[in-house]
Amino acid sequence: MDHREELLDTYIEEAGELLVEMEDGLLALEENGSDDDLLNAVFRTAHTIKGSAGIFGFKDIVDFTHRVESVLARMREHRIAFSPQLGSLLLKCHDHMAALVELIAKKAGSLTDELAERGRTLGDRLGEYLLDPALPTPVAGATEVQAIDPPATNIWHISVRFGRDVFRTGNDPLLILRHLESMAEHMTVVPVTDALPNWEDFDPESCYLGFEINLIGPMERAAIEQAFEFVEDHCELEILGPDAQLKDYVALIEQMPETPRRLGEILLACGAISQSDLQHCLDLQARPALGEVVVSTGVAPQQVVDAALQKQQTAKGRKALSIRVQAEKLDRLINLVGELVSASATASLFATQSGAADVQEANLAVANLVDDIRDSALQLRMVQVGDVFNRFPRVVRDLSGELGKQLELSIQGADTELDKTVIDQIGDPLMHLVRNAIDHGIESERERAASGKNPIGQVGLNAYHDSGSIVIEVSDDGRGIDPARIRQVAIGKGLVGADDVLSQSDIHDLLFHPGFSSAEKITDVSGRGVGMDVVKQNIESLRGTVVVESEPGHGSTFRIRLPLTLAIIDGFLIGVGSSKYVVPLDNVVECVELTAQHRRESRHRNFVNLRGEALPILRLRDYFRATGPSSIRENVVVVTVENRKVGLIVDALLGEHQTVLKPLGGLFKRVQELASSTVLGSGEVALVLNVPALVAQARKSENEALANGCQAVAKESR
Amino acid sequence: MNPRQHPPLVLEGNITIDGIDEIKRLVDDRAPQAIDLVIDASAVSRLDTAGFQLLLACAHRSMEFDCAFECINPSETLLAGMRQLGFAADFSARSMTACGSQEQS
Repeated sequence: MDHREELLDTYIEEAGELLVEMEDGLLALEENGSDDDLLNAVFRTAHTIKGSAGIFGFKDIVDFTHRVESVLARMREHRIAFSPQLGSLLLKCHDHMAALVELIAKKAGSLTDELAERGRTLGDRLGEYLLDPALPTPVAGATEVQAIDPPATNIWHISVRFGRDVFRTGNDPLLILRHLESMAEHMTVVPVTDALPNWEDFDPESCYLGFEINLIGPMERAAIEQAFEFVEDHCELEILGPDAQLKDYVALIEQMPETPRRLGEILLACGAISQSDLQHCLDLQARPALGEVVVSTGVAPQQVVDAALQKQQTAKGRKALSIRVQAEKLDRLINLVGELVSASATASLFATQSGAADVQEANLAVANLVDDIRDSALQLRMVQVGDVFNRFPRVVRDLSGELGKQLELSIQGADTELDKTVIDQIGDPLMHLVRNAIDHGIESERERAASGKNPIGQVGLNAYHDSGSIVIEVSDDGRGIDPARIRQVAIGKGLVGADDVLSQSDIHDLLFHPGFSSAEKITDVSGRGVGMDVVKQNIESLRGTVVVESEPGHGSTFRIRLPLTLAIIDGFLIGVGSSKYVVPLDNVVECVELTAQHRRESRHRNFVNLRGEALPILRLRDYFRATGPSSIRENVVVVTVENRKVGLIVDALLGEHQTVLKPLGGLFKRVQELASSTVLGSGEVALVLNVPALVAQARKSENEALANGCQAVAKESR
Repeated sequence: MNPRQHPPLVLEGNITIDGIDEIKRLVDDRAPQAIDLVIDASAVSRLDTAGFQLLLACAHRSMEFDCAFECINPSETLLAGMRQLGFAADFSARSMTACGSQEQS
């Protein structure tokens, strides 16, 4: 990927973030349309999107956003009042801007006819708000509101010297100048070519140019600075505003690489200063530096001046607290860390086998560092789940209007962090669950009133940590799931028999069956019977689970449990026959020896008595039909998923193991009980168990055994 | 034709950072030191700043080697870009290296 493409990716990513901010702002304005801070924030996002688009020459975005910005500017000036209609229009404009950015992201080329038509229609509707400036619509209660960031209407001067690498980084100063020109009423440019070397030394890929630029127009400093955003590390830039004084030009002359007289001539040529100003500047510039004066007059010692200069340099060198890194670079790092963890495991094995204390000690130090590196590297990929939650206020708002239901969305735990891969893939399942909750869960206002409920339906999104996993809940206070109806539909579709004994969780599981839908009406929102099974598949592909809790008349909660990371986990290595398996350590509660009494208790049954608690068990040797000698002393590894415990009976406990997860081949696609594989330090391959699937299997076996027992008892009693 | 001058070097299509090294090599091959350089830029359809800088360097080169440089038939794209970068439109060595300014409104 060349640097221009990288910059383009950055633009697309930033534009996406700004669009989210803009949407949030517009939604918040619906609550409080006269909030100047909100208005300014929305204006700034639109302005920044337009500005950055201008740098890349994306004319469609610039032109359309300019119109949006004009309406927002009038709103800031209180010449147009916010109204629900205007809010809806601006949200549609936001969507159109997002579509234009998407077009660039997809490298789809020119606008489709549909998109162009939509742009024209929205532009016309925006134009209605720009028609008559003589008809201001003051906001109620607004008396004298001071404009924030009032646009300046004077002359700006920009001195820029591009660094040698600016072309190689994919930047083109010409585009920046074009963008500045598009903002200004008048622009004067003087190229500075003094750094151009002799032909022999001239490297055509290096930039030797600088520019002195005078701009006239109603601009803000931020907008000018933004034009140079992508080259800020590759240029010397000075911006003098309308309030600049002669001393500022003196400082400029001192800073720039050309001789003072040469630069003075250039400034004169572009009209930044007059002839007399130039002479005055040169006189001032010839005076000794302030520091020298301070030291020579004894006002302060040299050390103090040096310290002050040092502080100044430090302040200049201070950079932003965060940096943007491409996800694929992080992926590469995580892969390498995975290899490092595997190599470290091999080294540990050999160190142990060598029996040399000093080798083991040195290896231990390396292994500890590898642990730290692993944790730090994985932390880099963690993203706040709020990035996904942010899209839902808009969804709820739109569905509220579409379905005529009053809705309120509450979001909790938005700062909970999750692996980026999971974040990227969890959006669609969540979207389906939320839409489903609103469409099927929340009743109409009339129904809610009839059952004595608040007419405003509540939808909740909640995220939190639990037992080393992340739990995301989608809840509603609607009508809940009617088990009788689900059962009836399932019987009708032939999914279950009329006499089948079904627990509540079995009934809820039917919701995720392909083609199952109990909706009486097919709507655009949901109810086509596709989706819930896909939701479950998507979540399971992330090594997650989804369960439903519902109380008829009071609402439902869909609880998604996801692993913190998909790359490297702490595992617990176990032996079953001649094979080795890894159980994710987060699922392990304890390990106990399978005693003779346990063996007696579990004969012909699928549970043991663990300190008075009936613990369903799964003998992995039988389950996986393992070969190899069995152990004299078997152990029970007690694992838990969503407070459900199951005992896995294994032959050997081999201890903790840092597990670098490798995908399983297509052969294992249908084996639900296996999540992935890993390579051990010895080079052997161990399979990683999918504990939720095993727990479900163990409990199913237990239920079947119980049901068979009941039927046998019933038969005997007849 | 001036005896020191070769036939015009015809530049066409994109004169951008992507192929700029190759164009410098062409200039070197076509016009060693003290040989006048004429560039036909009528078919230039796209230029970036690196492209303009190369033409500027060619103009400087002519002063360095005391030979002539001429850019004939500059395309509209070339002229518009020159204007935006603040260069005079005649593309002579003198005007390009002088401290002129271009006004845009």
